[in-house]
Amino acid sequence: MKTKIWIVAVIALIMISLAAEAQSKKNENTKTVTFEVSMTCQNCQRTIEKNIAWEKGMKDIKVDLEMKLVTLTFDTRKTSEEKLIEAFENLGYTAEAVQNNQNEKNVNKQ
Amino acid sequence: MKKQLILLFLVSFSSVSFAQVHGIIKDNAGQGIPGAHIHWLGTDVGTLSDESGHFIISQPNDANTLIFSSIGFASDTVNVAGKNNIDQVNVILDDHTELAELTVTQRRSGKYVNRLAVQNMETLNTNELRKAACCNLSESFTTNPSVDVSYSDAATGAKQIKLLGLSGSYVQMLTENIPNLRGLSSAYGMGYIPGPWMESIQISKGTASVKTGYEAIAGQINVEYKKPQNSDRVSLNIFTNSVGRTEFNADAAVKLSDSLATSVMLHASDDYMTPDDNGDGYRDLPRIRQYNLANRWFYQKDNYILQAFVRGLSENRTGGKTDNSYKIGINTERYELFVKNGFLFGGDEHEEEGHQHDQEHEHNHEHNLSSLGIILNGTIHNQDAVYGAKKYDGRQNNLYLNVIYDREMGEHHKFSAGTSFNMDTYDEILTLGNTQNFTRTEYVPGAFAEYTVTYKDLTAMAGLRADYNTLYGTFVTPRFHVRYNIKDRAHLRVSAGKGYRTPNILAENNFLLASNRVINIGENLKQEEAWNFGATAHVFIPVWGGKELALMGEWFYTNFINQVVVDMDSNPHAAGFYNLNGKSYSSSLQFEANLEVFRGFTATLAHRINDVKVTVMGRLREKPLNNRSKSLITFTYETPLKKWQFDYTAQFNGGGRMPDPDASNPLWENEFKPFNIMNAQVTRNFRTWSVYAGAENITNFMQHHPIIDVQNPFGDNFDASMVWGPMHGRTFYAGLRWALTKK
Repeated sequence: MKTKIWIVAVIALIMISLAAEAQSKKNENTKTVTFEVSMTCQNCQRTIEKNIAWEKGMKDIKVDLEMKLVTLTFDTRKTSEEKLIEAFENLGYTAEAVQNNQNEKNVNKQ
Repeated sequence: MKKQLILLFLVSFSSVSFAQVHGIIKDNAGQGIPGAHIHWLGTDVGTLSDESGHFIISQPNDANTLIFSSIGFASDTVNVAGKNNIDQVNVILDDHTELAELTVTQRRSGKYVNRLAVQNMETLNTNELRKAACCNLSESFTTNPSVDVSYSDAATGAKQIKLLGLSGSYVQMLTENIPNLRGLSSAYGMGYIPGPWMESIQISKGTASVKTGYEAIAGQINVEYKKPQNSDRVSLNIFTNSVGRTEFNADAAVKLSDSLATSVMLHASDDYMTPDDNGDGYRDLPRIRQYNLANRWFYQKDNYILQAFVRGLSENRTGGKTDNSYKIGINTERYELFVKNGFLFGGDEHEEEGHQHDQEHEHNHEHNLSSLGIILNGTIHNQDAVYGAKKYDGRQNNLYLNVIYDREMGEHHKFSAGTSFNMDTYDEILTLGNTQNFTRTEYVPGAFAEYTVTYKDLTAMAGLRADYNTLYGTFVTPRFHVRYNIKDRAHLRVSAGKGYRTPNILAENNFLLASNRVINIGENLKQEEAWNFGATAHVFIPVWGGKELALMGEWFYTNFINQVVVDMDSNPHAAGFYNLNGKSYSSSLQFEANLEVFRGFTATLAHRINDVKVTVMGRLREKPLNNRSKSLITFTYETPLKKWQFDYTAQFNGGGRMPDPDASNPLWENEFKPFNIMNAQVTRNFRTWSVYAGAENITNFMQHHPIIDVQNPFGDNFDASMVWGPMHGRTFYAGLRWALTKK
């Protein structure tokens, strides 16, 4: 029984550290921008999450469907605000940057 | 007429200047509900949601309550009074009964969450189902603390579920809210629904709504298939594992016009290896070859919705000795057809954003939304089975009709009534040396009514049905649910209700033929009858980062008035079936904690204690082969871009009692010990496809000698039904999913 508990604990730790590492990967070249996007439904959110995730240099996506806000963190050497707006437009949405923070700052904390 | 038109124009004109409210109506799976009605209470301003479930509605001066309704979904109301700057209302309508979760958001204010569920119901959506990627309905509960899945025997690969410690036959299975997997299909039916076909599963413990019949005793499990109107255009799924199981699934959906859509779903699976981990000369798992094909249609025009579904299944199971000297072969063919018609009345046919006005309704603060559903279902099931020298052939035909009328009466009252008819014909031939024929035809007409009333934070639902069974006569099924919300922090529910069912001894205990126990079926077996009582508390505690710790405590008690007792104790070489004479109950206590510890990382801890006892030959005894407790731990981590997902599940199964062994020559122990099972899976998502790989039973735990007197399959002691643990050790699996999403 004890070994089983240990296994559970170790797996939990591995997953937590994996997660922590992913979240702490900060880079001087990252930028976080919040866009107001013309999305109206859960499906739109899914489409955006699924497709924008594959834009070059993408680090993080946070979607707030109710507020129609998408907060993107990306590598400025690989992509830019303009390119991302274009990416939204390719999916059939309009997008406009509403806030512009350097570095990792959570613009849209609920 | 002209006057009315002018009036209409005026009203329309005036209301245009008011604020607009928009939002999305979704179902449990997060899909938008197209064509749902949105209506201001006390006005005739209404609209329909678009394809994606989105709607825009103007808010007239005095209107403050929105009513949401859609056929096949529980209606819901949202009061937006006193909330300034409301511009968006998002609603989740439950596609089952009285559960609805809704959120109303206000600019500059936080979230308002109200979980309007009368019944205790849990929904597993696609995300949850993908945490354990294999393979069909029976495997879908691996990450769920409420439902247990175990093998019925060591030879046929049949899996049975347990809810509240009661066997699967006391759980009413539904597909798309139609009773299914009953009778002959109850033994192997959990394997008849391929995983990739499912959109969501709803589990409700305890007594259920009377609308779907009287058969739910321990609870109800409903499966929703993928729908042609909102599924991916094409999707594929391939799966294989280290013991040779291979599965292929494909489905395609096409929208033929604005009102018509259709889809095809296909499943093929087979085993190409003969696993025998414990070297007892028997296959650990049978070879199961299955072909499964379904076609469904969706038609919607104005206030009418038609859904049709047809499927055919062919399955071939081969088990027994690897050298074929003792063989189990089960061939099944099954055909299902259902047609659902839905009509909506009283909502007026509004154009999008249309505003109509009808003088008669102006001062009438009652809204008259009502709907009529007509459901027709037919099933044909043929099964031919060989267990060594024994033969069992069964045929079952089923016809089912259910007509449900729902009506909203004002904001706080909802009324449903309807009538149903069910026909079952059974023809079973059992050959154990001599041939016995069991035939039975059962007609059950019935009628039901259900009333739901909401007063402030209290919601009560009372249902009553009366049915006449041609074998057992008339019986009445009362059911009650009450829910009380303490703010949005805690929900308390109590329920009480009755359930009945006709026992199908041979069909439900088919696996006993994989033993050489003599089967003694008593005379005049009665219809099974039980009360179920439940009390649950769900508490939501805000913790760090806007996250919520969900704590749940649930207790359910089932008390049998009549039951067909399965007696495996009195004689180790026989199985007896007779009417209960004494007490029989199940008491199940469960605790669960759920938390998103930090972004992307979710943990669930659960613990359940079962106390299940039944009177066997005058003595109240613990039900054999039943775990006394179960704990479950699950961890899920999803990276911020959702490209990687890690899932881990650990089950700690408590010990239990074995059926009494032979006193002079005991061939098995009196008890089985606790054991643990661990599973893990990694998923990597790409833009249109994803791959997953995982391991089941990581610690390689097995019940080593599940077959009693394995050397002599034709001897008196042979018994493959003494199963309490996993039949096979650690297995690795991998799979691939690809989807062409709809544009």
